[in-house]
Amino acid sequence: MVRATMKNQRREGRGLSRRRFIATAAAGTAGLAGILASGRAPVLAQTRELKLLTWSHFVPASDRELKRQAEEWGQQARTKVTIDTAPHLQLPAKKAAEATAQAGHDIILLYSGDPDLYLDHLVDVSDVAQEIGGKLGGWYNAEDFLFRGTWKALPWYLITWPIAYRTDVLEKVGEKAPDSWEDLYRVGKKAKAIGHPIGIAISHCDDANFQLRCLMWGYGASYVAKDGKAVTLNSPQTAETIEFMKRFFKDAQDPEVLSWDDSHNNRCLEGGKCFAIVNPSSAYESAKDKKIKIPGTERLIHEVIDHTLPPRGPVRRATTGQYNLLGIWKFSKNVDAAKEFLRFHYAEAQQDRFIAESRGYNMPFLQKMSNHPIWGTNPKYAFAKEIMRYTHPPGWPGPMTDASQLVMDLYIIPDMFAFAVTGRMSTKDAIAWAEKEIAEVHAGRKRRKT
Amino acid sequence: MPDGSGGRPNESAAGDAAGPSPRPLPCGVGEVGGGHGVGGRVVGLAGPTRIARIPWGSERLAGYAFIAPAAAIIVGLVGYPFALALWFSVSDAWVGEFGRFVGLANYRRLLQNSIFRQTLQNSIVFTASSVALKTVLGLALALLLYRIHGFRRLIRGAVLMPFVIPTALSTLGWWWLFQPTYGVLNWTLKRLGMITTDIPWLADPYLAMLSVVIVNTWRGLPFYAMTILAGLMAIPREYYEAAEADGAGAWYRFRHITLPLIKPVLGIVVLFSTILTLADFNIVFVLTKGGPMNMTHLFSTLSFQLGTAGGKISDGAAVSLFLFPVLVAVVTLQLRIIRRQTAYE
Repeated sequence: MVRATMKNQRREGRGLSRRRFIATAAAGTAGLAGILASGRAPVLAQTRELKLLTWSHFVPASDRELKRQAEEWGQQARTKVTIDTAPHLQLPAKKAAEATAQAGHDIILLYSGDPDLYLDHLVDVSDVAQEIGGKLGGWYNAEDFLFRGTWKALPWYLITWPIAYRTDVLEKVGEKAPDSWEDLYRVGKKAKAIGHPIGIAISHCDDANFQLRCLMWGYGASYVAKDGKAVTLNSPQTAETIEFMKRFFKDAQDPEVLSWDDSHNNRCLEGGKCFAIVNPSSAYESAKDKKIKIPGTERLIHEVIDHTLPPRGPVRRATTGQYNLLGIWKFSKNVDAAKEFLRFHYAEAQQDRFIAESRGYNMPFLQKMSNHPIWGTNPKYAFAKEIMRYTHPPGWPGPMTDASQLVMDLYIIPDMFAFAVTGRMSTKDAIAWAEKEIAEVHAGRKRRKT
Repeated sequence: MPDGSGGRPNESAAGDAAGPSPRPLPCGVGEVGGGHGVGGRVVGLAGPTRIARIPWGSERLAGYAFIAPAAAIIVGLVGYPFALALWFSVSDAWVGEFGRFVGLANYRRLLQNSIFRQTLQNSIVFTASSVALKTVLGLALALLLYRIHGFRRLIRGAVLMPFVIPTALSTLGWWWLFQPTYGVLNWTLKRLGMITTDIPWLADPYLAMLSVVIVNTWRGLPFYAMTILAGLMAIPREYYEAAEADGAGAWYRFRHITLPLIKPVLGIVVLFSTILTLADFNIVFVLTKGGPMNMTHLFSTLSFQLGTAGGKISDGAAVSLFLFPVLVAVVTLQLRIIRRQTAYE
């Protein structure tokens, strides 16, 4: 009897009898059914959600500023915005997974070939692109961003590859700042003799992909025609480029460049070994942040690091870089919200802060923004005002396509150089090998819609 | 758990075989429950009529029902992706598409592709040398561990470390050791006066392959050593004593007692290791990204570059499935050999 009373009390204490539970659950289910049927959440809970996936920026302040803008816009637009970041090498797998599952983020960071690769999965953003371009002085080389005739992505920012070199080493060898590839060779040879080689990667990394395209284009060589289809690699110009690199590799470089990843050249310059590298300003910035000293001295190394335009060849000065674009997945349920957010982010005031917070690392594709004061404050960034003029997409003179991306992903150009400079293949054979590989990549593209 | 058959007076032979002396069970249960009023319930659960009342009829069906969740997981997480990969490899799908059937065209094209042929060669060299090294060194390590008596637990635990640390993380450590200019290996060798110029560990194609083999061997060795050690400990001491009494030397004992008796264990270890080594991804991806000049690309890294990074999922799938038929043949053969176990009775 006593036990029974206690039981009842306990049940009441929990505040929910079995009968009441069933009644509540039934009401809840009916409510849920109502929401499902109407397709609308109750007013109180009705906040939109927008998700953006980007890379973990090498300048973390850039990501922080993006998140701040997302929050600011989110409050105005009553939308919850989530910014997710992932290391840049992990992004391709994430994009592939999202496209396959037709689920994931709404806005996504795309690399140069992605808009073509995911053409059918991306929203046409022509309206937003034209609006933004109109407000901010127009896009640089707008035709580069038309993927099979439409804006499938908004150009976000470019990361450029200037020469970063040591002014103290230059003084020691009695030279002035290198301007051409031949200059770089001449100075590099002298610098290597005193223990400071040049660090141009000839390996499986993006640095190698970009630097070696700059070299080829400078000598008038290319691997694909303007139509993005005909393979143009087999030319006397390519052979000349390779012959140059053979000399350069032997006299001005160390063999370790054959194994480099994207971080090695930074470390080589920061650590005091390399005289020069062709790389974004990240080496300078991180040396400055970490207050790295020149080995054996008390002098800070960033003080003797300067930048200049990428080397020109006998034919032209032409370079490439990391083309970062933003796209909206077609499967997104928030296409309108995504466009709204992009309009907000591309407004002048927001772009201004975004560039400033990235310390000028994010180079905008918008004419008006390229006059940003950040590039005037530090003479070491003098190259920045001009570099956009010389920069082309990685598949240049062809367009950015899934094929140009795959040629990069398979590191065909760096391998061609590596085969030749190590003597594993003659110049002719190395070109023939690369030509066959590139042709195969392009052939695989044929059946796709044009 | 009492299997419910124990109390049947006309118990079948199968019931007898199922467990050691099922007959005394009811008596045992009675003792457990003795006088507390609980025994009745236990007997009720284990009672003779319980099985017959299970709605799905027989024990056989119940068995299927019990393994159904596990089977569903295997079908969902292994079977489905495998079938999909199989389809992709005979289709022309790009990422995010289902593609059209193209027969064996992808495989034929791969065979003519120099990067793939290089990868095929690399995979064979990498797997064969890693597995060979791991087998020899693993056996040696197991024999050493078997003899060690002091700090046995500590040492055995420490030996397992390379196997326990996440590969990507430990490979980053190796990547740092191999660094040409600021790496520990070159620095140490220079300080010891053994070299004057830096060794291009990851820049030279052959040294790069050697480096990835070293790291793979280092990582896989504990698995070999521990498993073989378990095999060694299962060998009865009497065999050795008998052999010693007959005047058998150390080599003779190893050759005629140890080796034949650990053969089944060794076979299984080599089998697993071959499959895992062939599928290695992290080590190459972190250390070399397949370079220099594709000389360390393995199936998984090339498949990733083609299928995931490059979006040609059909080619990626074909690369990763290329050796599947060969692997099946090897596994079948190896399992057959293992089944012919050696036993001294």
